[in-house]
Amino acid sequence: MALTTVQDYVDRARVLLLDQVEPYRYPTDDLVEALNMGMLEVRRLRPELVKTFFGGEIPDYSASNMTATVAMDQQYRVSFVYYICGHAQLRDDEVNQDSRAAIFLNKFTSQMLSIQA
Amino acid sequence: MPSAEMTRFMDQTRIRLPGAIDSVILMEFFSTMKEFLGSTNIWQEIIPFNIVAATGDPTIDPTDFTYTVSPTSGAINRLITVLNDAGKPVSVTMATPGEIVIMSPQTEAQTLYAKVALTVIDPVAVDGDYPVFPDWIIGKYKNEIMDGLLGRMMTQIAKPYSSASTGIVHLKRFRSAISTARTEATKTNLYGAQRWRFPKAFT
Repeated sequence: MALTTVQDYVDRARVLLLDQVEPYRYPTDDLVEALNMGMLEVRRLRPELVKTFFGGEIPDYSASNMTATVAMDQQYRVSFVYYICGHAQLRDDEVNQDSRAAIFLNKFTSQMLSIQA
Repeated sequence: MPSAEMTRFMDQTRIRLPGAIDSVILMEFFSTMKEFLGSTNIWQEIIPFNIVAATGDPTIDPTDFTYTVSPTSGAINRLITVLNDAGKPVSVTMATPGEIVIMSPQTEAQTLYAKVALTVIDPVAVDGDYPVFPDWIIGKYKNEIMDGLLGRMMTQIAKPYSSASTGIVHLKRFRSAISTARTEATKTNLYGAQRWRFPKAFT
């Protein structure tokens, strides 16, 4: 099934970031950390998607365990790819565009809150 | 394992609530059933229980007059009546659901029959988190229950399936259906039946 493990999310994000050849422009650690940031955002926007973790900590994935399963409903997995891309492109880098980062992040938010996004 | 009817019910719900996840639908389904069953009394059970002779004043010390009854499924929500073997009502109270207090001294041991209205219990780790209740209820009131569920889901805020106006329409239909179901339960689904009836003949 697509987008099951941490590795799946990083691989899909690298496709959109045109960063599939080593040495990577965006370190794997940074992309995994972006996934973690996305999980925190989901806790704020759609708490029921992470209700399993109520009363505790949202999962914190690590690049040392890329085969870890990301617990997320199928409907919202693609949104996290967009968040990872947007978060990666927020950095002040000559190859990044603020508008592209904003588009990705807004797409993540709007897909969480509405259907027609 | 949910029944085929329950599976079809859930599929229809998923179609009408794009972006909703199953666990949230089931949570609201439980709340909907709790409201529906609690307001209509349609799920009833007659529970026999044996009492012993007791003297004293139950209003002062109900200990010897208190009996615990348990349904075969669900949770007791309301005590409708308690009858003895002759079919005559017995004076009782039930301040705590499931604990019946006989409000008069009893001179002999006998079997009484408690007619109770039931509701769903928390479905945690039971049947895949589906609320457990008789199949005939979803068969008869599927559309009405779906109105309640859709109304509760659509009135959540900041969700892809949020729609306050549509949710209110569903909830109004649900409340109306509760009223109808309550009347049908009172008349035990008999067409044209009167609500009251004479008690059993004196012997």
